Amino acid sequence: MAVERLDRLSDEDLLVATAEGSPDAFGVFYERHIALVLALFRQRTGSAELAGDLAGETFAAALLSCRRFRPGGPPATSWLLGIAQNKLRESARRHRVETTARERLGIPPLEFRDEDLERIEQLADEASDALVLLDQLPPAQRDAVRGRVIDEREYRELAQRLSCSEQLVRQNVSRGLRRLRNGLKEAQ
Amino acid sequence: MTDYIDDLRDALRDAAAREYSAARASRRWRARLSGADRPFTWGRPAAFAGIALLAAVAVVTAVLWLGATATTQPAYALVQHPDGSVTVTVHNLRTALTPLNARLAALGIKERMIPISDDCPRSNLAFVYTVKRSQFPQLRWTFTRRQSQKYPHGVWGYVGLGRSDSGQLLLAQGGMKPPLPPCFSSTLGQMATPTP
Repeated sequence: MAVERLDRLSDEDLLVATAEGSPDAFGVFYERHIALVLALFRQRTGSAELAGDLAGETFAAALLSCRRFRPGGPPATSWLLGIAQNKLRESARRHRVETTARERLGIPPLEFRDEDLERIEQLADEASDALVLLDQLPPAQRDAVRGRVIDEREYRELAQRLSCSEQLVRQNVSRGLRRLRNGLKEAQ
Repeated sequence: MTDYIDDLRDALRDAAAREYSAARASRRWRARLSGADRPFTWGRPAAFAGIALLAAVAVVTAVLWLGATATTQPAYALVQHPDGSVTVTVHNLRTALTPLNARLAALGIKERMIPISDDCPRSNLAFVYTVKRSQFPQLRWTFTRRQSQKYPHGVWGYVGLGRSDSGQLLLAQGGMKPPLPPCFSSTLGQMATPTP
């Protein structure tokens, strides 16, 4: 399938397509989100090298989990960032960057050069807009998106914490993510 | 010339082809699209270098302990290994961190243990998360000199520890350089000017 056609698919469809045998679909998914994942990791670790390494492990884990992804559940972005958070947490706990998923997939260690780190910085800078935009969301949406996507809290817990219904939290997460996507499109 | 980002994409694509090769026969998603398929080739070939970035980093078992502290137990334990690495175990969150940081500084370890509170942001600079105590029966880390040297200039490794308002363990770990979130600022001096 032509990549430009794949590019028209939603994130959810790309993940389904990957699990159904289209490696190019995962390439498109990767291209679409690598900058955001790098921005998140660089922000958390302060290191382009660690960000690149963690991003590699995150996408490898996402690839392995594609078959379990179910459209209609959490948005694919949330799903991916959830994996990223898990990898960050595991790596922090072990005090070394996880390599389990890459090893399982047979992806060899990749070497970083100065140019690589510069490109990672550049991509992360570009995607940092998303994290800036997150702070600019209306408070209810910002707290809901942050709580659900970044902190991975349950809807029920968020509803208690934010003193509103679960339904409203879901609505705010959905609207917040949509607003982020639109904001990023405008920024580009 | 390829770079890390492109190499990683190519490696993932190759891995996807291997991992999901059996599923290729049934591409139900094609029905959602129209038009003929044609093969897509990635612009640049994968080129892998064989040096593991973190191979030299010591494997650390972070088994953490926040359990009950016996009155006779020291606030922390620090074990030096022949290779220069140290293993620290925190027994008492309230009293361990200050003397432990002094020991780490004296040993030339560019890592600091810092107290964190529930006020610390869960995003942006601070990498703070809540974990269940059952997941961390022991608070133990091993730090190596080589690991410390990996941090860029001005960046310090840190392990943040604290309890949330609801009594859960708060854990933060990573590299950081000023400006720090306000909840870390009280420890900025410790991080920037380690006690010799």
